[in-house]
Amino acid sequence: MQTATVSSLKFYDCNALIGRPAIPRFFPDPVSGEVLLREMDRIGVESAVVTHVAAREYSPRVGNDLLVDAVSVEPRLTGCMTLLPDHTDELWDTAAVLNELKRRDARCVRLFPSESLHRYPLDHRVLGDLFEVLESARVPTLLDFDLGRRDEADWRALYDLADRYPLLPMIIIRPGGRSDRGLYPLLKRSPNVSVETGGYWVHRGIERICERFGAERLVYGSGFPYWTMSGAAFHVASARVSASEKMAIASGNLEALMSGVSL
Amino acid sequence: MIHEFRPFTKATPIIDAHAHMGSYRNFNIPWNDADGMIEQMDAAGIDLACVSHHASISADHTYGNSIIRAAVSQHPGRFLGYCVINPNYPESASSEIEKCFATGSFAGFKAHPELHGNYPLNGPGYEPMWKYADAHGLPVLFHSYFGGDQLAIFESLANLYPGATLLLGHAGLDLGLDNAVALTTRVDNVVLDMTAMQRHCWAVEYLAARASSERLVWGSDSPFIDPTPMLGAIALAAIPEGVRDAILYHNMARILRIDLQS
Repeated sequence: MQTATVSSLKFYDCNALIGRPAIPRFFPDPVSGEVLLREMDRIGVESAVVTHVAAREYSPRVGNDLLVDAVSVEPRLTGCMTLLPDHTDELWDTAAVLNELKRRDARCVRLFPSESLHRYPLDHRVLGDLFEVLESARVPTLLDFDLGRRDEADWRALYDLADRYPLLPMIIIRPGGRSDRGLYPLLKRSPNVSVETGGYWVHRGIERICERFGAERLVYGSGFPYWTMSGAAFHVASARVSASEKMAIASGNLEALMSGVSL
Repeated sequence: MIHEFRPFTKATPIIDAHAHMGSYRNFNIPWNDADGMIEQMDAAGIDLACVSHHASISADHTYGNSIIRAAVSQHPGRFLGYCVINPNYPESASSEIEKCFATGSFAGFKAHPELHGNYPLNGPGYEPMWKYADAHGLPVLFHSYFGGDQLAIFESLANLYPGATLLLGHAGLDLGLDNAVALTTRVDNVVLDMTAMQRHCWAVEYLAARASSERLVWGSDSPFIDPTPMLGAIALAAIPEGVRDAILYHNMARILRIDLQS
């Protein structure tokens, strides 16, 4: 018996990282663009939106620059810039963000608001100006709470921000397996919100979201090299949804979001 | 050239050594009953799941065991039960064990010390379970976690009950994989259950390179977790085919003394 089959399934990963994690758990090598591509080839993943580990674990300014150097020569990889609110002048002025993205050939941004990482309130009084700018260009915005296995995303903040910026495409990274009771109300009220599949391991959760909210609300992502690319891809490939829904989740939805960006 | 996903073709039946059933207080679990699980097992290619009920590891072990008994009876060949006793109710342990193993629906035990009040595995409430498993050559799958019993406790139980096979849940990830692997070299009856730790990138390859291939089994935690990302991490792991087959089938078939290939 063959499992996980679907013809011509092309994957586009919204959540791949390169760099040198402070605590390498099991993956043996620092992840360069070449190492990432090697794993993508092994699993059969066509392309990826890439965040730099140093932007997550050290400094967005440094990590974003390192990322440009690493991905600019590889057409299968697209840079994802990690942002901070501009009140403390640590990164770019909000007014300059779109130009910085264009200059770096990046079409996607990522926020790490949790206390363990970049530590700021996910609130319109902190991020409102930035979200207005991102919304104006429809820049896909990855929201990553760096959740532990039993943690909970800041749902109230997400309800509020998704209401205030209804044209800003938001992708919730790794909402976890215990998230439906907070996630479903968000998906119900806010069509601009999608979920990364690799960090959403609810039993038959892909099927239920397709049934309740539509396949366009799911975007394939792996979290490599923190999390397994193999399991994340197999998860989507094995889902009990139609071939067209599966292809949308694997790559079509992210392609559509990225093609909607106007910088 | 488009790089397309490379599907997996299984070479053996697949046994899920660590699954559950039913709803759970803490979060939504769609299609969590036996029928819903079988549909997902079929989608993934899982032949047999060893199951304990979520009610058993939380509020009412006798209710949970009864649901498992019915599920195994209604779906022969797809499920085998893990009997759960709640160590906080020691007076009912022997009768519950007798009831479970009278039917042939149960093939071992599951203990979840964390959800039963961090009860120690070597406490008196678990003693009837260990003695029965030891006497009948049964596996005992137990949850491991940061705040729980340490590896030295597992080692002492393995030595005290040599007839039982200790399935160390989550491969002892929270206690250090290298420490868990070392434990398997000191005792013959500890096997590492790789459930959920597979989601960490390259954890499967890391463990397969260090532990004897005979001391690893695959589990999903389904429906606590969807089984497909857990299976994919083994199915597509960069490990020798023989090791993959041992993890997915041969080792658990040996422990359960069953043959799904003939």
